[in-house]
Amino acid sequence: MHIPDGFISPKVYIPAYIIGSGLWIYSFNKIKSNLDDKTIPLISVLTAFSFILMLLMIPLPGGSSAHPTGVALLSVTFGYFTAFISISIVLFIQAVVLGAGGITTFPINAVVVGFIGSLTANLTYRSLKRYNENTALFLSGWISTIISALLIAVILGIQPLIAHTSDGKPLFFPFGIDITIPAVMIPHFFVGMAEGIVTVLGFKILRKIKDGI
Amino acid sequence: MAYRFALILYISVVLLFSYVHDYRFFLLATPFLFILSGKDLWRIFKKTFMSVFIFSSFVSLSYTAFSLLKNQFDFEYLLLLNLRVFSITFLTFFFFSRFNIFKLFDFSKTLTFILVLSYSQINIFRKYFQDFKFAFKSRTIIKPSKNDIYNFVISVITFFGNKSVNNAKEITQAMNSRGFFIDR
Repeated sequence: MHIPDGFISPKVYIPAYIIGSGLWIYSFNKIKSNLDDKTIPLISVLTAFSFILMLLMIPLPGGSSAHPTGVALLSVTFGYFTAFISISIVLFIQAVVLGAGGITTFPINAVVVGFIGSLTANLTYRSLKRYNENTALFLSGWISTIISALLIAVILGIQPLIAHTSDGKPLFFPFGIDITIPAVMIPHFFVGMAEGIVTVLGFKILRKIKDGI
Repeated sequence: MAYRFALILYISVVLLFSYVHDYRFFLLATPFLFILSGKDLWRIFKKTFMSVFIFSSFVSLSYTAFSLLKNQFDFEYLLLLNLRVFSITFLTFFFFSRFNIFKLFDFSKTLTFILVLSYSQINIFRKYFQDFKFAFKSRTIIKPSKNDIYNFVISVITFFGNKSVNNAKEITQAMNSRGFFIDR
């Protein structure tokens, strides 16, 4: 979700930066022992690869279209710590250089989409792959998108509750969860399908890449 | 030192903008930012406008419609929201147009290196993707079917998958040949 600055209260984005910082340090330390002359370039190109996936518009049933993030694909192929770092870099560059997102919404997107999305995708894939690999891949993309979207919808929807004037008028995002949940979840039902399709297609290609390196 | 000071100032102003809830403050602060940006004003203004336009318009129009229906429309809130969104975004672009984005991470050489490398790869991949889009457009006279788009998507993933392998290998070789990983 490319939410610009100014819609989220500091009551949310400051804790998000604190949580995000902890997760970035922990994840970076987790992958640091594996950082060498092969993995550093690999993470960089995966970041760029994820960036390109976010530019792809995939047509969906019903005439709509959606772009994937590559979160599930990177997570099931390279693990959720690597995926989280890669996605965080993409989101940061998008926010401060390309103008998609914002500096105050960046930690929320990074934690929710990058970390929780990666973790959900990885766990879903690992739980279901023994039954059917393609289904597991598709569902890892779909479920991680749905979970991330739900959390973003809740974060947006609680803004009028946590930041308002004494007479109850909102100070940041104006709509409550009764509006944000259907508004965010209905399109993301289809966005998740795009994510699922790309996860299935991309996994086979990325597995070859991983073997190649 | 100047960078650290500017960074602290930037973060403080973002926080200030987040905690002030008076549209009159932003009516003064926004023109002040315009003056500070100097000759880059139009470029940063355009970039800011393009960045916030879709989301802000959607929220503003929805808010106007909903609040008018409930007879709760508040123009001052709408003005505050949009001015704050614009000001913080403008400030961010202004800050990163004056200061090196990668200096933010100079506490870790490895992280800075990953960021610089990722950014350069993103720029390279973006150019290739543009070429892909132009090539696809030039080969489709009528509106492409879903199958055409799915084939395009598969081609893009395959191309960039292979490109990722090759680039990763090339970077590794280039860095090794320059002794980068030995010196670290």
